This record gives sequence, structure tokens and C-alpha cells, in this order.
Amino acid sequence: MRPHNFFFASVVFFLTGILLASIGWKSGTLILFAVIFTILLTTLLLTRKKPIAVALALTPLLLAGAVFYTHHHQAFIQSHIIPIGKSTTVTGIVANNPQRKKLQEFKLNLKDPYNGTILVKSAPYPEFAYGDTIQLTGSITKAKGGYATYLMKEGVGGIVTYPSVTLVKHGTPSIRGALFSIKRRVLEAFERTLPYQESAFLGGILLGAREEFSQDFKDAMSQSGTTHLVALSGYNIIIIINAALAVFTCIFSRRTTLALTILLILGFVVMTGGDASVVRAAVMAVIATLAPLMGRLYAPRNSIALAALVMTLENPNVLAYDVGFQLSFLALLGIIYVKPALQTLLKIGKDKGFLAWKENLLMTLAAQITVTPLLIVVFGSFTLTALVANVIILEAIPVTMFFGALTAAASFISYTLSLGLAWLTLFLLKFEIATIFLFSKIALPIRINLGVWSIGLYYIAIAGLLYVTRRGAPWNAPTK
Amino acid sequence: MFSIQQNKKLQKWIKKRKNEITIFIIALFFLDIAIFGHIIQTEIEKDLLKIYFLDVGQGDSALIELPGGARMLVDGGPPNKKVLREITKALSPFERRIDIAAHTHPQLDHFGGIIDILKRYKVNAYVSNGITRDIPSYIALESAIKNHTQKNITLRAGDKIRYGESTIHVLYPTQNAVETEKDPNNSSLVFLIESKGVKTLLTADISKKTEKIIVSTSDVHNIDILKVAHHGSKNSSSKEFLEAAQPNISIIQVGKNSYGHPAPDTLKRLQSIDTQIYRNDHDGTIKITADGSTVKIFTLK
Repeated sequence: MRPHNFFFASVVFFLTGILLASIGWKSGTLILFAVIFTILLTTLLLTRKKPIAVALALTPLLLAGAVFYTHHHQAFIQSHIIPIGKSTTVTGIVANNPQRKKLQEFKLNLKDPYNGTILVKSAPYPEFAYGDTIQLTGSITKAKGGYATYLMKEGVGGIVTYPSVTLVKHGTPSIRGALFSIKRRVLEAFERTLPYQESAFLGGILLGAREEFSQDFKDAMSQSGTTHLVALSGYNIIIIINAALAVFTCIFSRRTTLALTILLILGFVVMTGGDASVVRAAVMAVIATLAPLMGRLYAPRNSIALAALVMTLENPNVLAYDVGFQLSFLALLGIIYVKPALQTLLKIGKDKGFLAWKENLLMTLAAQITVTPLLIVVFGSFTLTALVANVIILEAIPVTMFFGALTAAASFISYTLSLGLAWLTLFLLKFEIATIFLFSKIALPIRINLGVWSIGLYYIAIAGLLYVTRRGAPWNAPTK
Repeated sequence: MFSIQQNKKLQKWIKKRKNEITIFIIALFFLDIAIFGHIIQTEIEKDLLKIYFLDVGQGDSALIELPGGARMLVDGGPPNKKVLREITKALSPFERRIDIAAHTHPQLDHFGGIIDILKRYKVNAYVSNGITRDIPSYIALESAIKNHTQKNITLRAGDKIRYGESTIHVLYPTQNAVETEKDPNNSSLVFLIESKGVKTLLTADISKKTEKIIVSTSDVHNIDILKVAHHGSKNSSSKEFLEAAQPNISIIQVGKNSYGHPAPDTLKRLQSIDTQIYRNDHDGTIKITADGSTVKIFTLK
């Protein structure tokens, strides 16, 4: 077995272990599996089917994954000492960049005598910042249902709404704090030069900031199937990497350029708040763009596995409970594997079409094919017109991001300069927003109930399609 | 040598991208039409009086654009960002200037939204009744005023703002009211705007008691547009006051609330004086224009 195949198989086994444990499989069941596999393995070794045997030898990793998850979960529960129910006074440190919606939302890491993280929804003023120490009085409650699993995934053990809050002291300067304040500064540059909706949308596509989105705009995005535009995708980060490479290679040596670009992406990830989708996109995009430059072989399958591994090690709950994580991985699998298959099936050559519309269509279609079952399970419906809406909007997004970034950069030099650049962006933004609202009105939502079996059949059918076309199928790993 | 090579490259590029370039030029053409249309419309509307009662939910917010183009924002609604969205219905997307911003009295449903306005728009002067409060949101407003405006002005009854042929009269509060009044609603700034032959009265949150004082001290007869006091509360808009003012158009700035605004009694009193009633919770943002001979009302839901 080649090393890259070995790596891939190991990761798959380990992650499966984590997944099974997180949806409630007990270690006992898994040990039973391990025993059965070991018997199979011995049989296979005796019959000399080597690759399958090696894969089976990895079954202990299944168990390792399960143990890792269980340990992490126990540690999470045991470390939390949160006074639930009655009104209490607690102190803590603001642990993320507060979201300024109608209320101010942030995570608070509690201090002695308590321990753990709670979600605070407080009055819009006074405004707090990352790293501030605050004292609050209120009754902390536990969330219920789906929201509770979401909060558990976020490492949050309780919620407090409208507490009375006082600032104890401002946070000490930190790199993360500085990046958050640059982000704030960039968003302000948009707010001071563009109308409300347009500045919110630009902040969304460039920095993934969604706090300023009005409810009707959010609804329009979800009805038209375009919400992912403001969830930073690998696409956005690839644009940023290319821009950085173009600038840095003119000035620095190859090695310095690579280092600087990686640093920039790292800073960007932190600045956007370290959203699951951003981390995934960054890991993917860094490997995708930089690996060829470093002269190594780039195997998409392994970078996807690596990205999944890194994120799951950081937070084992994402695998089973983070819809955003699942959606972005499925979409990525679609783009990497289903897209080339579609290209062969539809006989689309290298000609990308006007403003690369064919490319965009293929990409959207491929992603849509892999994520649709999940969309139906989670949201109860999906819309066919999303495809058209996305192809139209994606034509304009890179240029919008480019002018948006220029606007932000110019705002550090002169307000008037940034205003002029913002006007260029304005037309593109208006076009994109109008398209979103238009397609939210003409959306054709399709509602069906899907069972486990039909979903399984669906993915088997896709795998079959890939097998028939063979191009870029995951089992045909590059051999050079 | 260099330039010839460049030229050839360029020609090749143009040939390859013919379709793209054609569509780009067509797009530019439409963009041109849009921009010129916008400029022409701005020119035509420049000489109008325009008043927008912005749908900010439960709270007050009115944007007044005087003939000639000066703008004044009176109140900004609660801090729910609605004023930011609604104001884009009134301003061109290129417009960043609001000459004067004001809050009538320091309550959150009147000044809350102005903090965001100050941070995003270029506001030259700030106007208030000078009464301060020691709450976090008001402290945030004070720092926004300090950081983003040139002047901070306190106004009293008898003060006037003049611009071209328009005058904004301050009818209330008197220095005495500011010093003695316990209810912050009753020391609200009350503005009477006279422009293009149209009289507009903005009564903020005053109650019957203050209405009585204003009727006796100022000329509030034959009002064209009345912003009904205190979101249509039962303690405001007395029969005597409404009969004196006789507004043609009455605007109730109200959203979803638990105070019972607007009160059925107040609505009855308004109906009895035969006035056209518009309310933000039903009609969305209300736009009124006047050119000296006709008054037009638009609802921008």
C-alpha cells in the first residue's frame, strides 16, 4: 500500500470511530467490531489479499477515534461548573468577537469559582470587546433540543439573556484582539461608504460577517439558495491566496512568499472568528494552492482528509453535529469528484464560456448534487432555481471581492478615496442583491421526506456515476 | 519596439475576448443611463420639500429634506438598525451627508438608532434638548456625538433654524420646563417646520399638559402634517389640541408594542377632526413631498 493511501485509510477509520461514538455507539460494540475485523484480517492475510488486509489492520484506529471522542466529551462535562437556574453573579472573559445584532452576543469564559463557557445575549450598549473582563448578574439557563447540541458543539454550557453587565477591565492587547479590531475597522469602512444592505452583504462575502443582515435578507438568501455566498468558502480564500502570491512574488523570494501567504491566511482565519467553514476552506486552499509550488504532489483526497482530521481533533463534535461543516465537506467532494464526471457526461470541453459561466454552472451543479440530501434533511426543502441564481451571482463575486478589498485598503489612507472605490463596488452589490431577491420570489421549493435508505441509495448512485466516468474518482488516487 | 509588441498582444487579447468586451460595453451603457437618470432626478427633486416618517418599529424617526437639499434627521428610533435600512429608501446610495441629526428627548426609542447613523453618515451638527442620562446607551451616544460631529447644540423654545426660504421653529421646551419637569416626555423638543407653504408639527412624546402650554404660547393653527404625539398614546392628542391644529394629515409612528399604542380613544379623537391617518405599522415608511402647490403622499412598504 502506498503511503498516501495508507494515510487516507487511517484518517477514515479514525474519523469513523469518532462519528460512531458521537452518535451514541458504545465502546463495547466497537470492540466487538474490532474483534470481527481482526478475524477477517487474519483470514485475508492467509489468503494474501494484501491491500484489504492492511486496511483492516487499521481497525484499532476506529476504537482510538471512539476513545478520543468519549474522553473529550467526559472532559467537557466534568470541567463545566456553571450555576444553572437561579440568578447569580459571575465574572468571566469575553472569548470571541461579540456579534452586534439587535442584542450583543458573545461567549464568556467563566472565572473561579465557576468554570466553562456560556453564551451571553446582552443589551447593545455598552459595547464589549474580545478579551474584556466583565461581571454579570442573571439566571443562566440550559438550551433544549437542536439548539442544545449546537451549543454543545460550540463548547457552550449555558445561555443568559439580558443580564445586567458591568465592565471590570479591558483586555490586554493580543494578536487575536488586534485582528478583530482590523476586521471591525474594515467593516466600518464599508459602513461609512455604502448603504446598509450593500455594506452588510460585502462584509458577508469578504469576511463572513453576518451580524448586520436583516431578517428579510437572510430569508431571501435561504429561499434563493445563496446563503453559502456569505459563509466563507474555499473559493473566497483561493482568491485571496492568488492575490497575495501575485503581490509577494514581486518583492520576496519564493520561500518568504510562501511563509507570508500562509501567515496571511492564518490571520484571515482568526480575523473571521475561526468559523468551521473558514478553517476547512483555509486548510484546503492552502494545500491546494501551495502544494504544487512546493513541488510536492497534490492529492485532493488527502487534503480533504487532513482538513477533516485537523478540525475534528480540534472539536470532535463537528463531525456529527455541525451542519455547516457537513455541507462544506459534501460541497467540496462534489466540486472535486462530481465536477469532472459531469464535465465528461455533458461533454463540456476546456472552453469556460463567457465570464466562465460554464465553469460556474458545473461547480454549482456538482456541489448541489452532493449536498441536496443533507439540505432536505436539515431544512426540509431545496430549490431548483438556486442553480441559476448561483451561476449568475458567481460571475460578479470575484470582482466585487476585489473592489471591496481595495475599498477597505483605501480607507486606511483616505475616506474620499475609499468612497470612490465603494461606488464601483456598489453597482455590483446592487446587482447581486437584486438577483437574490428576484430568485427568492421565483424559487421553486421542493419538499420531500427522505429516509436513511433513500439517502444511501442516492449516494451509491452518485458513486456509480463516478465509477462509470472514472475520471477523478476517489479510488483512482494519483499514482505518480 | 516594446510598444509594438504590446500593441500586438493587445489586439490578440481583444480578438479573443470579443464577446466579453461587447457585453462589458453594453453594461457600461446601461450604467450610464442609470447614472444620468439619477442625476436628472436629483435635479428635478432638488426644489421639493420632502419628509420621510421612517418605519423604525416602536419609536420615532423623521428625515426632513428642505428645498435646496439640506437634511435633518429628527430621532432615530430604537437601536434595532431599522433606521439604517429605511433611510436608504430616502437617500440616494451615493449620499453620505445628513446636515443635522437630533433627538427630541433622551429615551432609547428616540435616540437609540442615531448612534449607528452617526457612525455611518457624515453628520455636521447635533441638536438636542441638552438633558443627559447616566445609562450605557446614552453614554455610547455621547461618545458617538463627540467623535463624529463638529457641533453639539442645545435648543430651547424660541430658537429657529433657517435655510433658504424654510424655517424650523423650536416651540418647546422652555428653560423652565427643562429645570422643573419630571417626566422626560414633557421636556421633548417640539419642531414646527414651515417650508413650501406647508406646516409640519413634530410633537415627539409630549402629553396633554404640554400640548395645552404649546397651544397657548405658539401659533399651531392650520397644521398640514402632524406627527401624532407619543405614538398615539391615550395621554396625548387632546381634543382641544387637535381642534386647534386641524391637521390634514396625521402620522402615527408606531410599531409592535406592549403599551397599547395607538390608543383606540386617540384614534377616535383623530377621526372626529377628519384627518387622513397614516401609521408606520400599516403603511411602512411614509414619504410626503410638497412643491408649493401640491402635497403628495407615498407609502414605501
